[in-house]
Amino acid sequence: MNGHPVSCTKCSTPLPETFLNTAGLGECPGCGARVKAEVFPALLRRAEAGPSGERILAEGEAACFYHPQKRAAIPCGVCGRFLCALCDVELNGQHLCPACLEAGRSKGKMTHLETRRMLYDSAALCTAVLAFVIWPLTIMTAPLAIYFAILSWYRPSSIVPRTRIRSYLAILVALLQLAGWVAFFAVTYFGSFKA
Amino acid sequence: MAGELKIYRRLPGRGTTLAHYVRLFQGPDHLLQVSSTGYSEFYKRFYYRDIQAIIVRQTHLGKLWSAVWGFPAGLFGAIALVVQLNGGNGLALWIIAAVFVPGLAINLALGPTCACHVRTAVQIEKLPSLKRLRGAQKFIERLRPILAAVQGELNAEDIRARPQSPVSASPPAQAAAPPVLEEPQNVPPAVSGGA
Repeated sequence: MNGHPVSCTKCSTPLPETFLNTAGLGECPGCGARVKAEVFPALLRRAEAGPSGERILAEGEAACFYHPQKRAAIPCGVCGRFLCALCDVELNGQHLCPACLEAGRSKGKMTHLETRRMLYDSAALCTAVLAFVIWPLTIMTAPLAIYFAILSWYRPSSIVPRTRIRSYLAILVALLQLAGWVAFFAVTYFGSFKA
Repeated sequence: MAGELKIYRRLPGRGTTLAHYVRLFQGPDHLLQVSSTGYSEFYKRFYYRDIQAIIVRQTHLGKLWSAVWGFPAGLFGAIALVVQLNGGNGLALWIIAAVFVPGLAINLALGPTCACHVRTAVQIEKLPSLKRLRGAQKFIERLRPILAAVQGELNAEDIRARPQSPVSASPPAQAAAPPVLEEPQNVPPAVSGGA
């Protein structure tokens, strides 16, 4: 997309330069929608060809683990395998091989590569609160909500700032539900006993 | 583990898609879009070095919302007025009309709506959290110095001198034949997905 003009997002008509980095909106020449674009130097930057790795010229030179014909440039920061310039993936100043990168991503060890997280505190709160809709279910959902709330302390939460208020609320609601059930069974049992 | 990484700062705007609640966060080297379902979160990162443009287009959704809130308010208000002028008690109708007024007032106070897109070298992605023009403007104001620090400044001369590549109807002659790969081993090692 480098070099391509900045286009209207409604009709894809290229926007004239009078629409770029202006304070107000202008009417798109194609569809008449009021539009503006804030452009940055990356728009003018040409995509550079990536390194392909140098061939081994002399016998005995260290070779890439994945490409035996390529000269090793750097070891992997995790497994230590020799990597050529093609296999070297730099992430946050660390040089990794594609296998370690994939392993780190799939095990959730690299926050920068994570695309999804389960929110156990929200799950706990929803389980505790939504069960009120069908209240007899609370006898089962209350322990489940407490389990989720405790789990949320040991599992990674959201990567953006977040408090633990949901876990505490979930535990409070679930304990109240359990207390209600205990009271219900106590009244039922002792009531029938007296009768 | 709540708040294990407090590296993100909240950016203006919040929005919803069909099943997600979407927010934007400012990270150390990237913009983070968080889509939450309630139980889980999905992350999308736009690195500052890659952002080419932010395109803002005004939409008519705000006017539609004004009509949605304003029409019943006006209708019930008019009927109440007619009832009162004929000597009846229009209090119930006034109350119904008043229910819609806060919605209309809030919608008018929030200002015009917009659709905001971020463009990189390989994608044009909608930012569903930026639905109001004012919020989008604030977002750009917050992002501009960060991108200037990463990419540098872009002045008017640079924009005027940028290479324009008009989209031609017919593909270029060179594109007829696929390029010949000289080094077939010049590919990164295949990594099977971890399970």
